[in-house]
Amino acid sequence: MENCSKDYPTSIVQLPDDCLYFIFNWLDSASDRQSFGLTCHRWLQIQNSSRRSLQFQCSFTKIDIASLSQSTMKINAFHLHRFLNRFQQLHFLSLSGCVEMPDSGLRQLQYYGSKLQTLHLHCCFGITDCGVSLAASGCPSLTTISLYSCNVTDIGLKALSQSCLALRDVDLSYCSLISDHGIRALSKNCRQLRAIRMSNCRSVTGVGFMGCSQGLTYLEANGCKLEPDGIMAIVSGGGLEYLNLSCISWCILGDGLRAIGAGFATKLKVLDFRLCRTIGDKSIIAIAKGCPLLQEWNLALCHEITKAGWEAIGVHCHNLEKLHVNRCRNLCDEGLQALRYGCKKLSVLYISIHNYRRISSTAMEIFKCLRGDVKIIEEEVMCIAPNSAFQ
Amino acid sequence: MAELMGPRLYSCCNCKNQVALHDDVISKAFQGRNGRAFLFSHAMNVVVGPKEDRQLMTGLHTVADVYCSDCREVLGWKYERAYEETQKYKEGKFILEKSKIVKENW
Repeated sequence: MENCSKDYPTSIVQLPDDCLYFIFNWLDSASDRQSFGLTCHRWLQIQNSSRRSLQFQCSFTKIDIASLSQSTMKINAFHLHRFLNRFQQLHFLSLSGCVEMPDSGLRQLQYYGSKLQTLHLHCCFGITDCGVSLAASGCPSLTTISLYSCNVTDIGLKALSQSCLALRDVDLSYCSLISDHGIRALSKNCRQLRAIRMSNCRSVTGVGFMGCSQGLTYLEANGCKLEPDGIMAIVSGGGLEYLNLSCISWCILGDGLRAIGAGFATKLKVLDFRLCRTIGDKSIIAIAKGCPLLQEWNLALCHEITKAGWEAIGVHCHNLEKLHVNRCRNLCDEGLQALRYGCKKLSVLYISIHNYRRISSTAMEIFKCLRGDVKIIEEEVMCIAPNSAFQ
Repeated sequence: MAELMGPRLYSCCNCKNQVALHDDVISKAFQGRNGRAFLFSHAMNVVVGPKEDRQLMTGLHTVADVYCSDCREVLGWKYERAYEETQKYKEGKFILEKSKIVKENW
């Protein structure tokens, strides 16, 4: 032991790479990691290949107040090439906010994207089907992708569904060119699909979901032009726990939403019908009976629900904890009484008290007296999505 | 079938909230912020905003913006006061822009 270090002093450069990786991972401050990388090329390489996530200032997820006043550098394809060349072991890449990034910027993903799990392309208006295909072919391990507001059509979705079979969370909000064909490709091939956001996809009617897997637990379809067949298809998988159908008032006439209560959506826990103006008592009664596990239900601005509907909710929604009835024009004293008698597990009631024409202050006071366990909140909540996906 | 016999209505373009009856149209020859607008004697399910003075094509008026009561989309304005004799007939009436309302039931 004494003779080993007599001739040459040992130094850290003699450590093998995996030891240096280990040491690097213990560094928890950014400046330490920077200094590590500035030491020599070998250590720079270790720093580069230890990086797991990359995002830019334009995505606004981490707001640094001091830098807000400076103009941000626009990330273009050349920059992205250099970055992807340098950081080849990324798991998370966000190009959100890079509005001018062209498809060619994603080309390097074909060589270095094999470990990529999460790709965010929010508002990447320059990305089209071509770019999505490049990303799909280069990133077979992709589990989460966001194409919010991208110019993507069914062709891009089909490319995704063929290469990225491990896809779990997909955000397609505001992709108005997507139709049921693309949705069908995704739901048929990506059987691990857990969550889909397709808010305001105007060309989707919902029929593409027929035969979706039971793993689909989270779906946001607000603002879509859904049809009754589409609603049937959406619940056909049997595993939905969160469903957002707000603001589809003009598409589903009368009882089109009754299908949700037909026995396929028994696992539904959170349901959002905000501003579904045409949903009537028949649908509400069917859903109250058919979704016994319902915990949160948003019925704000559902003007067509009358006493029969409120009574059904009171009688059948045994597990309901949060109910939103803000500005419902046909919620009167008797409806409030029905809710008071039932919904034993109710803990929060979102209701507008002050400019109410139909509910007398007496009825409101009786409710507060006899149901002191229920918190009354006047606020209108726009989004009741659970945190179970898109983390 | 009952809808065909009912009154002809106009609804908010955004959320289909019923805002006016066709029977209440006084004139279809008005100009809104971006295009044609109709003058109505009554509007329902709307929220009237704060009053402000505005210089319109026909002179100075005190108007208040009118919003859909459900989705808060600006649909037009209400004439609160007119300052020229020839414009007094508009007081208390509503302008709803053609691009912001849709026909319902007809």
